[in-house]
Amino acid sequence: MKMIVGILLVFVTTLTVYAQEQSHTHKGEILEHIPDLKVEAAGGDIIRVDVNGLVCDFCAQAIDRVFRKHEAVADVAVDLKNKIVEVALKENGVLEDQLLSKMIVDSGYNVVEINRYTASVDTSEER
Amino acid sequence: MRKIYCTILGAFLVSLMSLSVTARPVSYPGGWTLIWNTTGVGDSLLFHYSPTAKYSLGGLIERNRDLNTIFYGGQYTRLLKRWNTRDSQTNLYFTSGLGAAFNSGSDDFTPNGNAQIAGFLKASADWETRRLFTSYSVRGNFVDTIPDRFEQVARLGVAPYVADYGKLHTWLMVEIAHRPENEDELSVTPFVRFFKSRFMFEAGISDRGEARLSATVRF
Repeated sequence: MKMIVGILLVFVTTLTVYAQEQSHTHKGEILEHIPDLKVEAAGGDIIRVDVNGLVCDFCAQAIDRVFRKHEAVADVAVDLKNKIVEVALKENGVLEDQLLSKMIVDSGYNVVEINRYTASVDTSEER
Repeated sequence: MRKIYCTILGAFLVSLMSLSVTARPVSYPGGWTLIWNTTGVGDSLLFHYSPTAKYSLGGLIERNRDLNTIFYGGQYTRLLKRWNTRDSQTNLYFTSGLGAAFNSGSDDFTPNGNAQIAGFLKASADWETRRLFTSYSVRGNFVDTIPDRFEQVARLGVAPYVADYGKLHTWLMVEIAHRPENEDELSVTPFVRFFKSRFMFEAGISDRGEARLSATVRF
């Protein structure tokens, strides 16, 4: 019984320390180069999103599946190490920041920053 | 004929199927989850659907070996609060279940006797990073003619290595369960968790020598 109470105390203390919600959202500037691209480019914009709460494979799956359902999305890649979600849009595909943020928040996570990369850039040399 | 049918159905369900189903009780929007669990205390099978990432609705079959009862009912889980940080996620859940409990007999899974109204209330919390995991839950079980029963379960886990998305994830965990009304009030179960793609599997043996197995599939 003492062991359980001890574990409970450690758990509650940990909760107190780590329970700080971070939901700051920032729209990044359009850039001409795409560093370390993981997603498969498909002629449309590439969107790179920093996300809080991505700590497990189930989390990554949630994001992956939700984005793949969107008609404008060609490919999705999730980087658990860097907490980044990359979304490749189809040619002429449109996915506004507001909807993109909503999709991530509705999946249970928080957007930290959104960066968009122009579709006109040839990414073949970058990969 | 009815008894044979019920026995086969019950055996099938239980063979597919703890009283502490804790693996991600709410999924992503539109996600289906099947969770099977068996321990020395009981067996359970939960199939739930998450309309949103805030709650899930499901069907639950649960056998309690101590009480020799089988519970058939519905389950509602609400994600009360989630705290997302750069490196961690903390969740607070409330779960309730309502249905019917039958006497299952000591050695078979055939529901017999009159149905009794049964239900449970549960509160749980977890905190997770890519390397560490901890959770705690407390639950009260209520069956019409049986004294109320409570349990609390705590889990601690560590990942020996950190894997990328889509790779095999492995966790070494220990579960401590306290069930004041049971003959064995306290049990400690070390187990290993494997996690890949849509599948999660757990296996361990308690300090009483009882096997603990669990499998989760997401659709």
